[in-house]
Amino acid sequence: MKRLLGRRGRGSQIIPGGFLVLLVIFAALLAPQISPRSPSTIDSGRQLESPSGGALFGTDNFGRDVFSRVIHGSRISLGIGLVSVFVATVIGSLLGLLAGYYGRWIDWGVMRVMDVLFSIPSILLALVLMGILGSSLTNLAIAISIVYMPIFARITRGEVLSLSSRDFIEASRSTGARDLHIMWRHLVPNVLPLLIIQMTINLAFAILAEASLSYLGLGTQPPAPSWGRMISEGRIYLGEAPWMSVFPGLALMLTVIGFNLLGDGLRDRLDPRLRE
Amino acid sequence: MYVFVMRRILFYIPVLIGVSMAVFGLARLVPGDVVDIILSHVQMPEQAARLRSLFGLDKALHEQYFDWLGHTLRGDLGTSLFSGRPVLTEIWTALGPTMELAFTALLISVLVGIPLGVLAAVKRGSALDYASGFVAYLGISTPVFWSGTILILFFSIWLNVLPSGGYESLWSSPVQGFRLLIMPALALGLNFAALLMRVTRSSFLEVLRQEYISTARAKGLSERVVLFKHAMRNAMITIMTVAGVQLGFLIGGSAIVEIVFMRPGIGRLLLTAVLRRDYPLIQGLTLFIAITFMTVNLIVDVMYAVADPRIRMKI
Repeated sequence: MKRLLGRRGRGSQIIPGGFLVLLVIFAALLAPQISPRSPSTIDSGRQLESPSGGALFGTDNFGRDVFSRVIHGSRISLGIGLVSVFVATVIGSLLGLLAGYYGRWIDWGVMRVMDVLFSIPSILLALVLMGILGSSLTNLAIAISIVYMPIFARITRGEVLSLSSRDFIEASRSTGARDLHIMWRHLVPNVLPLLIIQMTINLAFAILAEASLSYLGLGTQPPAPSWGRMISEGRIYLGEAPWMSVFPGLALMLTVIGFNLLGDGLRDRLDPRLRE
Repeated sequence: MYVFVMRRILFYIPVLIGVSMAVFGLARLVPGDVVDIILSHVQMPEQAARLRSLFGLDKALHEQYFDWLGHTLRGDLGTSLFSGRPVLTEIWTALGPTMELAFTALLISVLVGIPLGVLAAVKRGSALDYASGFVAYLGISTPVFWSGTILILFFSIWLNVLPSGGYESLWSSPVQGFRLLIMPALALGLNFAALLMRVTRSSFLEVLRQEYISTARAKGLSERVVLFKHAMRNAMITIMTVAGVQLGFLIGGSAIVEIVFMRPGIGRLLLTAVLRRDYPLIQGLTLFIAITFMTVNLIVDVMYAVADPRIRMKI
């Protein structure tokens, strides 16, 4: 038990974290096979049924199977999470790379834009962006990517700045290597482990952001089975059918715990700055 | 010290200008303008043109920006397109409930998170350490809108001891106001407490490893003096920095909590503004939130420098 929950054996959180993450990936990939019913089939004869053998997590106000919706919800959470974190990483680290490598006005300009993005709490920035862009899955991914971009830009820039002064970069430069070559062959591979750790941790945040925006009614639109939206739809029926909100919330929490554990574990194992 | 504070303020100026441009640009990014929103559904080209010149929308973009900036600097943030009330009045009205919520939540998180973190660090490797570490993971990973929902389920629906939502001012009706504040503040506060606990634990472990702590112990000082006088001061520096950076978490979280518990406040106001595309209100609120957040960061920077004189030298 100690090993399972332990934080001292360096990086041992990888095991429970990885397990939870794999479980979610599994659910997302095999959603149609696992779910007993379609997530959107309306059955007016089976409204607000409590959990039983027939409907594992009960049914909602439209008679839809909550278990099937929770399983399908993993696709939205993971999908939006992965896409937005990937876009944020690519654009953010590219900006950070340019800022750190070229310095001067590029650095100043890029980092001030990042500071501006950083000056508004992430979920509120995402909310405002959704207001401008309008609610849709693509816009949801765009808004979340913009919000998480500065983190990647800052990390990459910091790392590039400290690497640039090191001997092997100087050596490469003195042999006449081009900027692009130095960046691609020397800087990117060195920043990559840090980025992977940060991506895992930010996946947890991105999934939470998607759920929050959907909860607020700005993210996914009905009848898409997003966990955040399901929790908010269940709010009115909390007295009669608490399972409508409880199960999607549990799924969301376990997914986020999984990515948090995995991210922390990876950091303890891989982060060169923590290596003794 | 004075120089340090001035330098930090100077650092925030370009960011503030950037924020003002972004906020100004917000309303210009969308297809159509304010007039299209007001006159949606009706075709009145003449009235539209007159309104545009009234709002100054027929001027060049940079002229519009400086006009807007001038008004903003004089405290005129425009009027809400829906309520017709000045944006500043709207913000001012919503501020009270949000402050009550955010401060109570902050108090809960400090009272729960910091002592637990210290305890976990001191009893490192014990069952208590593992248990609190596990609870902290739960706390960080649970979205406030779900923990809020669960609290409502327990205390309002099953036990029927607390109202599920609404708002009364703490000043005019303290008892009911407090009853309405408990659950939202708990949902938000415990979330932040989990974060504080983790930071406290790791920064305490870091500090306890240092030599001056061994010296203090070797001098025969009691463990209590070592922990709370010697270790606390240095550990607090890290705790404050991380907590300061994460305060946005608290500000953003309070917005969501307001929706869950149907409380009026800044977050709820922003959501309604976004849903109605009330651009003057969105602009005013975004600017207000950004300035508040920057001010909080500035205060944290200054406190940081007060706690650790070395910082003042570095920057």
